[in-house]
Amino acid sequence: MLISFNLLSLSLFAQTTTIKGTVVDEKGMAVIGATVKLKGHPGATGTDVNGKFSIAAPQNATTLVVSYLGYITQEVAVKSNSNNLKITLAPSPNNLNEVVVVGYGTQRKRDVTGAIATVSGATLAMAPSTNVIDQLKGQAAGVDIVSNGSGLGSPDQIRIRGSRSLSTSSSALNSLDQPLIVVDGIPFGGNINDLDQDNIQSLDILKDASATAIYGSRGSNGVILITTKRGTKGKATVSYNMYYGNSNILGELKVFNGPEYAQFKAYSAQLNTLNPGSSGYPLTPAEQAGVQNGTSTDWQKLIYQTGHNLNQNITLSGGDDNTQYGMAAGYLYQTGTIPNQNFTRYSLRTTIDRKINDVVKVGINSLTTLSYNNNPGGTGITSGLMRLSPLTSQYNADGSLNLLPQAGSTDASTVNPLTLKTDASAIYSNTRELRTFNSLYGEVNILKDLKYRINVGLDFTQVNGGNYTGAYTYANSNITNLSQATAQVTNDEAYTYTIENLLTYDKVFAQKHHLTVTALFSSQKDHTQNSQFNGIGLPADYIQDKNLSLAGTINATSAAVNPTANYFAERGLLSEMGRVNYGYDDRYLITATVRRDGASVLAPGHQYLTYPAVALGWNIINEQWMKNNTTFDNLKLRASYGVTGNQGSAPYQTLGALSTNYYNFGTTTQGQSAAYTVTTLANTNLTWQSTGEFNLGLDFGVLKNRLTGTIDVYNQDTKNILVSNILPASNGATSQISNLGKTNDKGLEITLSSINIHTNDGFTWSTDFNIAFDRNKVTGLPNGSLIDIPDGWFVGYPSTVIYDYKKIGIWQTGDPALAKQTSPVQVPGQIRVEDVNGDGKITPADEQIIGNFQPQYTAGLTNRFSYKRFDLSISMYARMGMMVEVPYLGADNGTGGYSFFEQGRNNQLKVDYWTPTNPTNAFPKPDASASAPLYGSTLGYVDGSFIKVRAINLGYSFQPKLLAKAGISSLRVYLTAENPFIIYSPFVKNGYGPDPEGNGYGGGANAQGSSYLGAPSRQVSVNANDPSVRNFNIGLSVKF
Amino acid sequence: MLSVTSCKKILEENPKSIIVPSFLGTPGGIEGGIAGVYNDLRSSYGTEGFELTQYAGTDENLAGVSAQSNGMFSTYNGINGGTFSGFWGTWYQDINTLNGVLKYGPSSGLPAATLNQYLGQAKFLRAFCYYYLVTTYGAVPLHTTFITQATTSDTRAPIASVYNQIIQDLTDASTELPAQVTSPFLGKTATQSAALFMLAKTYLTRGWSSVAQANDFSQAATIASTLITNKATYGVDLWQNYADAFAMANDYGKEALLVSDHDNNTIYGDYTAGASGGNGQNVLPNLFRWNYVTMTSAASDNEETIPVVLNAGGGTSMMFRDVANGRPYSRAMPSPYVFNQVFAERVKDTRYNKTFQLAWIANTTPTGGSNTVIGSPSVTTPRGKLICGVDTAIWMPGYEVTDAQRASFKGVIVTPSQYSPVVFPTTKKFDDLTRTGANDPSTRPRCIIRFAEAYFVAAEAYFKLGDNTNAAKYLNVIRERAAYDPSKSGTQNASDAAAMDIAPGQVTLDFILDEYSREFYNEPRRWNDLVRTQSLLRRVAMYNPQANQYIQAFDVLRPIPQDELNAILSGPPMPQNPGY
Repeated sequence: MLISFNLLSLSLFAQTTTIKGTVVDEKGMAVIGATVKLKGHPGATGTDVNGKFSIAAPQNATTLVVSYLGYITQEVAVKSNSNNLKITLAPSPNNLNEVVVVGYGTQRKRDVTGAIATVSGATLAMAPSTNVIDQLKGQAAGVDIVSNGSGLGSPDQIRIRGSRSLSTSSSALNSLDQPLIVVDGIPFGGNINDLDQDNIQSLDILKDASATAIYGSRGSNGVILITTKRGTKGKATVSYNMYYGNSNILGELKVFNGPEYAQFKAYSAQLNTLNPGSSGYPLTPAEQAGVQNGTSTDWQKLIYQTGHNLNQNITLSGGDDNTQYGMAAGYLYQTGTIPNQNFTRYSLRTTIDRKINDVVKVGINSLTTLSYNNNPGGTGITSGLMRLSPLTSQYNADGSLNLLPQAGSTDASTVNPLTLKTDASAIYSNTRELRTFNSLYGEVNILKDLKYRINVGLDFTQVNGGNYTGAYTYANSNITNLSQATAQVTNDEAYTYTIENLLTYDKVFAQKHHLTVTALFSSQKDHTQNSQFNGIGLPADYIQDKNLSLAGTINATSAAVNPTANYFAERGLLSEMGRVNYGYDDRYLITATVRRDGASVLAPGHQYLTYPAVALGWNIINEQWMKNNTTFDNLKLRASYGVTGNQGSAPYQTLGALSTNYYNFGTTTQGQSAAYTVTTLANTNLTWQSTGEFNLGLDFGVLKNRLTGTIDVYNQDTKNILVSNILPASNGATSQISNLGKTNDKGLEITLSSINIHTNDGFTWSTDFNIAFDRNKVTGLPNGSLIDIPDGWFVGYPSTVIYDYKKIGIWQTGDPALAKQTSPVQVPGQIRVEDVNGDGKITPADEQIIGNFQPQYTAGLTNRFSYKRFDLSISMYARMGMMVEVPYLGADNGTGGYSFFEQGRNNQLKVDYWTPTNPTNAFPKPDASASAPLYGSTLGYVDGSFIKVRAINLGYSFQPKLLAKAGISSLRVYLTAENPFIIYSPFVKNGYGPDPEGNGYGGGANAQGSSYLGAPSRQVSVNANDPSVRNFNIGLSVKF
Repeated sequence: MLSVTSCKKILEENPKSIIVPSFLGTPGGIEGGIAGVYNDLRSSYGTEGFELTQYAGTDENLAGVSAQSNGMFSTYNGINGGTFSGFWGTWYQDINTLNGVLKYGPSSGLPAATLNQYLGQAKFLRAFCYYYLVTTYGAVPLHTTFITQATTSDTRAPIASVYNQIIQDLTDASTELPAQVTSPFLGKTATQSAALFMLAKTYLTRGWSSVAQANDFSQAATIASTLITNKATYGVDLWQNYADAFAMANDYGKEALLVSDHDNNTIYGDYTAGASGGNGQNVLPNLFRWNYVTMTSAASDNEETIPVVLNAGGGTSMMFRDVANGRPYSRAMPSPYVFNQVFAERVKDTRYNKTFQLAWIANTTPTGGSNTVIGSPSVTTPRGKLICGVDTAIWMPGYEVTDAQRASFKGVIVTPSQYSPVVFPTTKKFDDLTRTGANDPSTRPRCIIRFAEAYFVAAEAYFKLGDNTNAAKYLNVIRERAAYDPSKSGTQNASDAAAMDIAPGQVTLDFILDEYSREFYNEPRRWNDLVRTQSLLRRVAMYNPQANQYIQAFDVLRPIPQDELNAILSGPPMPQNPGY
């Protein structure tokens, strides 16, 4: 930080003139302590608290050089009489003295040997969001973030450098492949929405094994280190941030309108394969009237509304040499696009750092969040709206609500979705979460260079959930009996404590040898205890979930419904770690780490593993022979190898389990019995999954650091992968967690930052660009086999491939090939799949690898413009070259809910379907005989590539002079558009939906002719869930 | 710093919310393991996916308009290892659990007498599982020891070995089990009578099979007839009135030998209000029911439109869906064979009227918990206004009518020539009027073995032994019972019963199969009867126009699930059944 001051010295030269001016930053704020010197002349000066400088200049001086930490060095032409210069500095995209958090310590960026990406709080603030992780989209190479839910405050799926694990379940994969998140040194699990973005100083993402090895068994998936804001020395400052805005849906799912729906139904009867002309789902009398009257109800439009966002945060910060304090209070209130959805979050932050004496320093950081999330009707409202008949009206002729718009049909009990608005008290779902995340530390300077530090973290979360669905509402279609009202209460408790003992020795020997040694001993325990109870038959809607004892029957949610609804789990971790950083002359750097972890979740005898890592860095730019180079301003080569682990397996897997259920022998209570079956075999050999990773990186800066960049290549080999491998069912249990698989990931990541234009009148255009390529493949499977069809793993192929029949069109009338297919016998209009072995039969032998859910590359591009007091940033991101599963295009009648094309029963997405007069090859004929079209799963895989504008932010900073009178030191107002538009998406272009990003998992149809679910069941998919939104916010940041 | 002991403690696991396998070694674990298998039977019997494989693709049923899976099981078009997978895993999971019970049972500390009964249950259930497997798939893997280590290889044992194991287990169970139901296995769990019945049926089945032993049919005949002779010992018998076999009050009565329990308790009964199906939900009453709601008052004007286009021409629905009339799935309709041949006799043989619902009484839409009436309280056709609860809205007389008869009937008449995949007489044997919601699944038990079948096993075995006299004797018991109607006079009943009797010369295989249909129509089991008697191909060709164009010789065995074949990752690959 103080390097620039070292250069300060007063000129003693004879002077003939004095050059004066002011240095300001990109926002027009005075820059204090900038170094000002004259090119080709010795001596320099610094700017004062108002950014002003004055320097004596010889007659022949022509160029002023202004430099400041973190900013691009600026050269300005001067004349001898220049005395009112205004120099605007542009921030440097690559600041080598910037401090990077590396885990159990910090390093200057120039000393870093691992692959680390840093995202500042300011960058995150560009696209305000409830979810901090969401803001990282497209911001760091190799950090692939995909939406995996919809509704307010939904989480995201994060993968750093691809996925390493093999699992058949999306939830297990998420725990196996999700990076470790560490907040202020303490591991942070649970709900990411508990973090208020206004409290975040920076995020550092550790990507390679040498950087993550210090997290040993939890490092394989990368580590996201979040540093929160703390108090700063100086007079008390108060800052206030707020934004307010609207959310609107990106678009509706385009379904058939009234006449189109009637036509679709008519075709499904006409084209009935088994019983031509007949349908179990004819138009009801009401629908026939609707055809006559021209009724065409857009149910989605009736429900979706404009949501609102309001966020406020006020921060007080200050302190003296011995004590610094920071306090903040935040309030977030959002309403959703579905009626009565809302999310409220109150957050409090307190930090105190206190130097007790020259030896001892203590501090605390306490983050407390209280949030309320109302999500009535769940996230599947859209799929219900999609299916409703457009031929019925939401109101009766007399203006009253048409409670049963599908009356007379098979789905007669579907209640009008407008009850979401009109009967809101009977559709209630609330989650209240209280979380307190605390970290305390004490530091003792034992010797001048030797420091002991203890970190104690306590993270406690308590969640109360309550929901109620009254009968005769959209959420509970039990129209016959009020006693079917259901209520549910949940109580989840979780805590984690972490105790870390750290010794750090830091010394520079003989000026050139910089040695840092870190030693750690830590222990961590996680505890979870959940309970969930249901009541059926509540006497009145207003009771809701408030008195379950009034329910007709009460029961605990069974493990079959939700395995963690009633649940207890604890896991422990014991760790020892040592790290040596050695730097010679700022040129040669070496980091060596060893960590040993023991975990309770693994089998005794296999609980411990040691993780070594070594990394080398070479600051080529600091070599003598580079002194005269004019090309590079920074050049550094890094190489590392390390082993990290993954302890993602759930507790108690080494013990095996009986599935538990209940049975009643007869009808009396005497016959009630617990019922067990052996479903999970014990694995007494369960051990660590580990990843060995080699990383080679190059950091460079050219053109006076106006173009800086980082290139990393890596190769990861993961072994002993915890595989929930599918067993032959005839052996009694269908799966077991074992350490069996191997995968490899190779990747290339490029990050570039450039200042494209910087003029002295204050116009700056800078660009950040990153692109990442990850190639994953399975390299080993149990027992040396090469294919594992049930799980969808094939040696040599990515773990995310789709294995199914390949649709090659729709069977057309008169196609001679149709007669050659003997099994199954098909008819024109049905989906035609490839008969790979040409035997005239479609059997599982004809299934093949037909696609991949992993993107070929992910990229982000952020452009920033500033001119005088205006600033504008536009960030885009892209995921390209992958398939996405769209269950509502391909679902069977099981996993994905109502299926597409199901017997012409329900309304559905408007697609180009086959009829005798429309011989398309896109979608099959409607068929009233079929609950799902034959090979319907093949319809659900579509190109999921997209390029999106993530956010646009336009700001204006007021002139400090104007503000000073009001006691305001800075004021910025801004407009933000989040998710404003999609630049490229074949998915959207084809009309499959408004947003190609995911909002759920799986839901894919079983491949017909195979019960294989494989990759589609565990990947993020696009479901007919709550719609994606576009936000427009207006905000202000003010500092006093 | 933490002390060393507390450090070590942090790495110990103490589960508190799961049951681990060693629990099987406790008395509670032994009982629970047996209950677990009964619970798995419940997740098969009564559910749509399982029952479908029992009734579809036979001479008795054609695909209804809402037949699932493209009617694949109705037509055999496209059945392969991928499309047929459902229950294999469940049965083997049960077998392994039972092997665990049999392994740990002797050391569980249960008193000897109790233990014996528990082991009898386990052996009965293991045999029951293998019987299903061997008759469905042919040669199957045979495991009789508890598997605790995961392996990725397995082989199919010879059919003969599987039958030997079944006979061994049932022979043991027939003495170890109690003669009558005993706590804690209440309801209608396995007893000696169930074990003897299954033993007789196993001999009968093996007698027909490729691994037949010389005395199989005589064993079957002897065991079945002995069981019938000693029925009082086991507390089993036929009801005098065929209808009583399906009365809710008799679900656990003397004619039920083994049932799969369902219960409206959401915990012990797996019950979910409004459930459309799935684990443990008994939807059997829904499967064979046509969607009576789609018949409109206007449709009745034009009888020609009835067969295929419901809701035609507007008007209003003749019926609302209610508990009494049930939830319609339209999965299967009776084939013409059922009306023309099976139930040709409908006067002396009362089973036609006791099997089918043929009239629908005008009702109102129930809502709001009480009997609040919304919408129209009744329906008016061009022939008059129907009074709710009194007038018949829809009637299937079972014969053709004249235009004049139609004109004089206020509701709609549907005659046999109008039966179609959307309109057909509904099987009423499983109706459950105790449900609270019209869409709720049934909580009646699904009867797996009905004592009447013992007479058929005896008759079929004697027939195969060439002893038609005894075959006719046992069939006549069933046929005489079928004549009984409490509303008839004693003499009328006696003379009808006598008229139902057949002579030994009339006993043929086809006659026995027709009689099975008369007695057991839509108590899902037909596919197995036809396969056992090597009659599937012949009878489908004769009576099922939908399936006869697709069925092939190999369809008498179901394909091994592709999942199983794919999961064999070591050792020799497991061969698929031929043809698939």
